[in-house]
Amino acid sequence: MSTTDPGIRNIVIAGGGTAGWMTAAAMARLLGTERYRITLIESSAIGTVGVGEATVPHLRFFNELLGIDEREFMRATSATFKLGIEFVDWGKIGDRYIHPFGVYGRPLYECGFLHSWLRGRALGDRSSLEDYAIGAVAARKGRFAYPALEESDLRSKYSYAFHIDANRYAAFLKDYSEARGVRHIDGRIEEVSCDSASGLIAALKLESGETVAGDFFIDCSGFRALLAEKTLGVEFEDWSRWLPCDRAVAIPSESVGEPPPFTRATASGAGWRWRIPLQHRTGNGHVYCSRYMDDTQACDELLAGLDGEPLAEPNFLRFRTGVRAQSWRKNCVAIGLSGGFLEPLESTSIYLIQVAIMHLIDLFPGERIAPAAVDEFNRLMRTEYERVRDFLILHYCASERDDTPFWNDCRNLSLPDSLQRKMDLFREQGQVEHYQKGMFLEPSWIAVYIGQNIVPQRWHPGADTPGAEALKRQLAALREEVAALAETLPAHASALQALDAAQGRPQAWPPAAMSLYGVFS
Amino acid sequence: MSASVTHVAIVGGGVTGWSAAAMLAGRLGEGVKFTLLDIPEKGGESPRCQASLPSIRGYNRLAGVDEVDLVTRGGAAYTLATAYRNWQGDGGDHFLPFAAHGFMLERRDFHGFAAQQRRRGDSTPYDHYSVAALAARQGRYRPPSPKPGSLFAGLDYGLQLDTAIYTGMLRARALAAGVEVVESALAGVERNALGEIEELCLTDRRAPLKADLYLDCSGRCARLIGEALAEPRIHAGDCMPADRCVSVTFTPDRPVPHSTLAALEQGWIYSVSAPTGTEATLYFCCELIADERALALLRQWSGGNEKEDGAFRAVSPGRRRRSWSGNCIALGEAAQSLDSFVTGPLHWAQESVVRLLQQFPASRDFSRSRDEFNRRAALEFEHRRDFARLHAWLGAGIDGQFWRRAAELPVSDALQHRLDLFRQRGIMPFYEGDPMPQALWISLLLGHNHWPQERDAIVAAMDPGWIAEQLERMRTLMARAVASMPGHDEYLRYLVQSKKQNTGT
Repeated sequence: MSTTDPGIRNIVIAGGGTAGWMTAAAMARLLGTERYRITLIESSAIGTVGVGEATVPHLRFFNELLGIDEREFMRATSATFKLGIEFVDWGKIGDRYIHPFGVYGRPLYECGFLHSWLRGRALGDRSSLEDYAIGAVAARKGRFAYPALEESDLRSKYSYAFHIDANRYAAFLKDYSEARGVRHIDGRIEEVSCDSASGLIAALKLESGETVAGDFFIDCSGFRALLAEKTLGVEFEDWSRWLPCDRAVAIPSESVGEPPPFTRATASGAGWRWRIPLQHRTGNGHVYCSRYMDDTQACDELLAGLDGEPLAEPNFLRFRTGVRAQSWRKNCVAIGLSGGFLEPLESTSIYLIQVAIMHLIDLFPGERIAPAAVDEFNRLMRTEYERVRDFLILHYCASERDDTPFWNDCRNLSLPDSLQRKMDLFREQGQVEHYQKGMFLEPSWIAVYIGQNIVPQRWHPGADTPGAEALKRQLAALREEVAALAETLPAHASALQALDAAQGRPQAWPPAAMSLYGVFS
Repeated sequence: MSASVTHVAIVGGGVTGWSAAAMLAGRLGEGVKFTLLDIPEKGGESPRCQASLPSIRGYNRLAGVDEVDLVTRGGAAYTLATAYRNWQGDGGDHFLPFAAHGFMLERRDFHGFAAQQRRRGDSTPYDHYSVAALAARQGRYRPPSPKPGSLFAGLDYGLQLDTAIYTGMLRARALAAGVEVVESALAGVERNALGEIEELCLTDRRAPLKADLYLDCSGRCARLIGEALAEPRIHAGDCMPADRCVSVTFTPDRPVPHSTLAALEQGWIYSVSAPTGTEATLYFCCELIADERALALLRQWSGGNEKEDGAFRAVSPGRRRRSWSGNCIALGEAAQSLDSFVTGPLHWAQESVVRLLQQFPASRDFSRSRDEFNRRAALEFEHRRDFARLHAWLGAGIDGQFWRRAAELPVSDALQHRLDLFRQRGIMPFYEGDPMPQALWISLLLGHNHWPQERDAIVAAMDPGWIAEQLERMRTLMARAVASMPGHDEYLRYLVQSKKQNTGT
């Protein structure tokens, strides 16, 4: 193509961090820096929030798209493997369950495994649903191996992600992007100028006096939303009536013992604490609601719950849960915190960045910005955010806790219709509302419903087929098979050591998929 | 806890009723008993021949209908595509297969590359990039290959069925699964204080039929949900200007592996070829042409060797506001009807049976399952309606009053967004609950030369020479593969022969 072609050629990314560098890297790889001039402006004086150190399996797909060697990525980000999230004290104090990246059992009959389990339970079988998810069983045992590639093998029924140092991931992608021709300017954006006729953003003026002009802008400026909100005035839709937590305090601590292959989220009196085991340290934090808990108490509880010695001073953050009414307006797309914020309870922050980037690249304008493409991007992102939102609310409203005013209020939340409908349907006879798009599908909804004690008393009549004893025998056999297979997996720590030994050797990791549950699920 | 659902009454012994009986009785086990009241399914469109989408293969597998047996009994021929003729008024044609065209390149959908190539002046018709479309055009058929990577692996096929033979096989499966048949007529429906069905009164002094759930499979006359329960019907006559149709059956030279949708100045013809004969139906508007003229047009189109006289019917698209109301679930045309494009009423009836199977209630406490069933049914119908409306839009270039009327019909927001996004950017938006595969929407537009105005940014960044080579290679490989396939009639004869040899007759 000739360079005299009119149209969009000059892309400016305002802000670095995880969102900025993921965007730059993907654009450099997929749109190319021969055709596009890609500039990223990041001030080394402004800190990054470093969202989400815990990731979901979709990130593997992103890395694969970029042609990144997974072992190199793991070394660069001090990554450990992650098989799911353990939720502690959510349904009731003392409860714990794992939401695994994988599915439960294998369907014994047409209607799905859950229904056989529900019937087994009514017949007196007391096994936990988790005993049938190999990903969860392996996580509990501290084991890890790549999933099998043979669909008939139960070991293919899980997937995995990573715990990473997000700042190191950003730095890794910065190197990747610069090597592919992305221009990086270290500077602070002072002013945004718009074309007076079209209202389009025209240029960013930096503190240094330099002006960076562009055809298309990505707002990765974080909570400030410098372009989307401050310049274009796109409103923010507040969702705190459903997700009232508005503060977080974070602190790294020394690793103690071998890193477990799962994230932990422990409910507190007015929020929840995270524990994310990396190779060299553990990330910890406490998300809380300032209406019910003050900073000191939140910090004290966090420090009291650490496994190892703290490695830094606590870092306090404030946030507001919600979504930008339109992530794309005019020639500007908000990606990352500028586009919306949902607490990291299910490790969704990097995922939401990733899908925004992938949708944007699919819809990226050639010559002109097509209005239908803008509508489509906003429609897709709203669906993603709303579905994650409903899934997060479920953790709070499906609780029997009555030990604090926070939990009393959570139990009595007035829910979005889209969630109320799903919960009512599940309670009736264990049916999960079907949809195809979105991060959390049927196995995830089942994990949280059952994990938080919403156990339907009825099941699909298709599960009534075998006799009671036959069903109990089948359940026991499946449980044993899962336990025995999990036993064949190496310890997580040795899986990590084996990575170092394998550096430079041909790819051993399995293909990635845009799914939480693995290639065959 | 409320009482379990243990007894289901099915009203209607047509293809819908027996489809439901075979599937539900076969899959739900012994806890639920089924009784079928064998009254005719009628009152609307009940075609002799029906073309289904590939999903019927899964349906047959689950319901226990052996596909080879069905084909060798003359109950079904294969279909690889729908032949669209004259939808731009220029006499041209286009074959629409069930699966996507071409192969993905660099993880991008194929159609973006075809569009790019088009911009560069290559005028290859879109259906030259589909083995199924090419084979259908040449009257060839073979089963798909189980080998991944084979050019035949994506050869997705549906069936063109003889409704009577297929219904007979479903009936046999249902009876084997323990369905009880009551040969009687429906004399009346008793309702309880809640307005739900209490029992069905039968003729011949038979005891009333009482069940936990009642499936209305009585066709468009909707004996239960319409006549007895008066569930309102929402009309959807604004997606095409046809209000009447006429069918003829004829014997073609040989069964073709595709159905046909042919646009005429006065309406359109949908034709399906089962081994026992081809049924063609002309949809028209009675204000614009008289019945005699319509029949004459249809005879002219079919070649004039028809076996049966034309049967006229009123066309009135619409759906029940709730297809599951109280303890009554309407399936098939009792619940909804819409003009046939690509597939016919049987497919939609079976889709509703599958939805019911997935949500089959364990107890009488089923209000949430019912709401979800209705929510999904309404969503499905809205997208089907858009798909039908798209045909009115496609035909806007044809001369004549019928198509001028078609062009003036309203377009839903969702369809407008599909058209805008596709024409501007070559992307088909995904909608939750849309029952038509993405590939069908895309190839319907590209097949009729509605190419996107803007290029795909990623494809545009790739080497155009490399893209041209890849596409050329695909075309060559596909053309060669299709040339090696047997004729459809040849393959059908081969199946019959090998069955005879196997059974030693």
